[in-house]
Amino acid sequence: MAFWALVKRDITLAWAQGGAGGLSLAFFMIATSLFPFAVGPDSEFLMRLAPGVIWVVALLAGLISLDRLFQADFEDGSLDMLALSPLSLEMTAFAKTLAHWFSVMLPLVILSPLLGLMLAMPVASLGWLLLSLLIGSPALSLIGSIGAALTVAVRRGGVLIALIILPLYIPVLIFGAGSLLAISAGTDPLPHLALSGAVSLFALFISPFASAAALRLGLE
Amino acid sequence: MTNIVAKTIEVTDLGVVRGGRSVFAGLSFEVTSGQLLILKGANGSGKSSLLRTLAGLLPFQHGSLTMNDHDMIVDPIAWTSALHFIGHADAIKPVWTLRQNLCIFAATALGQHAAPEEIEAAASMLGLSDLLDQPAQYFSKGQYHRASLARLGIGMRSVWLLDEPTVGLDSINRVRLADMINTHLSLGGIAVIATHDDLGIDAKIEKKIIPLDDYSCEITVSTEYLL
Amino acid sequence: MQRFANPARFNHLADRIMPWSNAVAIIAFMLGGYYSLFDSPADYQQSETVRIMYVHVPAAWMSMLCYMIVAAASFTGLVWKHPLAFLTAKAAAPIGAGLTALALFTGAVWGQPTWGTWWEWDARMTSVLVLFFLYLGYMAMWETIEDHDKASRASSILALVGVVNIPIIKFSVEWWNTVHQGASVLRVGGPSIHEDMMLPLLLMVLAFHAYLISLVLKRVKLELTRRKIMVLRQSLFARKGR
Repeated sequence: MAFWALVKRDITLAWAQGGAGGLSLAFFMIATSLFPFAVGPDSEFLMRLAPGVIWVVALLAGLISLDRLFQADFEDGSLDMLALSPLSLEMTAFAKTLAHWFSVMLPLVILSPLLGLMLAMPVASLGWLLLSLLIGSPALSLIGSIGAALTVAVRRGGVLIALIILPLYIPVLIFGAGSLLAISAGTDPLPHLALSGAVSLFALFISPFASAAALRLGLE
Repeated sequence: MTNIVAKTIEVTDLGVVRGGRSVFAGLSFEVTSGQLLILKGANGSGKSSLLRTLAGLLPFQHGSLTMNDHDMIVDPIAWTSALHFIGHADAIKPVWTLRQNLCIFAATALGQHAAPEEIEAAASMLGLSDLLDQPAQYFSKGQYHRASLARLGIGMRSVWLLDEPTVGLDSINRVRLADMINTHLSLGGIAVIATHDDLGIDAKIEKKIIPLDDYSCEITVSTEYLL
Repeated sequence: MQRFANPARFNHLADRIMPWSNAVAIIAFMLGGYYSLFDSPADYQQSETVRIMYVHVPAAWMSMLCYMIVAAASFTGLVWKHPLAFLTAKAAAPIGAGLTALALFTGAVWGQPTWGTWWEWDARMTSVLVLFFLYLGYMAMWETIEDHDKASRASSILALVGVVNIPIIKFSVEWWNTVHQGASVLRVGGPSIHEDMMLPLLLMVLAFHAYLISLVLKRVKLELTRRKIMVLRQSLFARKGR
């Protein structure tokens, strides 16, 4: 019960006034729209660029919301309260990560076909874009939560999170965006998606433990 | 889930080291049902550290902590299910009303459902009844603090760990807090409170004072690197 | 394990090892340097530029080894609460980062005449680049947390998360590279190693290893001294503040 109550709490907070959900979504739209201004509106070129651009910007949009994942609760004392809950710290970290995915990543995933259209992606591959993000994005939240937990007590830890998490995002990006490149090259995207899912599962396995260990340090 | 009702808390030869420095060492005491334990000491003497250790938030390096028969290391959930900890931070979310804050606190941190009557009673004990449905962002600093103290009225926890609870309270609210503590103790609860102020506790209640200054180590730094 | 936890014993041990590792490093560098520059054949394809290999290959190997040292020391520190292990991890990381940077730099210098480009997104170079990023993150973690005790444990958790991710990163980068093979400009297989190239290469590898040992020991000693000064300062303040 406490687990789902916590997931619900964090989703509500993310979509309350000044929460991470809306901000990340807005960032996702604006940052993606910058690319045509930078590289020109040639639809042929944009189409080739689109999967990579959308994946990288979705990754960054998730990243900018991560530094408050635990820190907001750490600063106002709520994390102490949550640490005293009947849930283990592992489950607490996992619940908050799950909420991050639901409130920040999932809206990005749902919006991504629209941005794909704007970047001249063929309609047939929009479904694949959605699917690749759906399978890959849990890894972004899960790995990101480790970085958020490690920097929980660091003031202005945002840059530090980026530094320690971005290298770990590389496999997620390779397999996720790779599936779309495979489609445009006319090859089978499924191996990419399978590997992407494997990375998400692996992240699911290590993230709660690493995050909880890091949070314990922060709480001391 | 049933919460443990603490009859006794026994602290034996407790020692805590933080950041390579020993905060206190050789601390032993016992508190039993109905007793108030007051922690006194200068700044940095470890009052907050001791409270956090008792809550299970801060690991200790030496000694043992037992509640009834539950050792903290073996059975941390028994400990956390028996206590309320109110530290310096208010843990109140400004976007929510007081009622939402208390409700969600009960669901997430206590893992139990709080009935509307329970929440209203908790708020009225600190004179917050009129503010129950106001978003906390409009609260004054004192009201924030009272809102965090209102948590004590939820969930029937038998051990209260309070860190400087009177700071920022005016005289009316100090009396209200004293009433809450008196009631809690007369019903057989336990309270451990770090404070410099006179709490206004009933003379009937048995009080113990731990002067933490006496437990600070002579050498406050670890010597492992000096060898 | 606990035998080496004692800093005095460590200092004593380090003082006995370091003259040897220093001597081996200097001799091997001199011999290896001579052979690799003057007494080894030039490659018939790459001509004299192949000599960059004698620095590039050991540096690339050591960059990985160093991360393993950081990870193993971090693990030891976290599990056995061993203060010297944390210091070893901290001491090894900048050396590893330096070697990684050296491998990247020599790779670029080597790549220019060989591939006709300063940077080629090939699997090995890319993996080394990611490794360099991992080092940067690890060192930044140490820098930003003030409390020494917390910094050591937080960066150790990060090092372990990094080390379990390295195989995945390596695999993904290789996968990515094979998938995009068609796009790459030019591909030259690694130079087949001539017998006469083996001796200088092995000497250089030996030299790098010995140098690494000396440097890590020196840096741990340095870190111990720094800690000692800090502890003395703390006790001074504790007395004055009374």
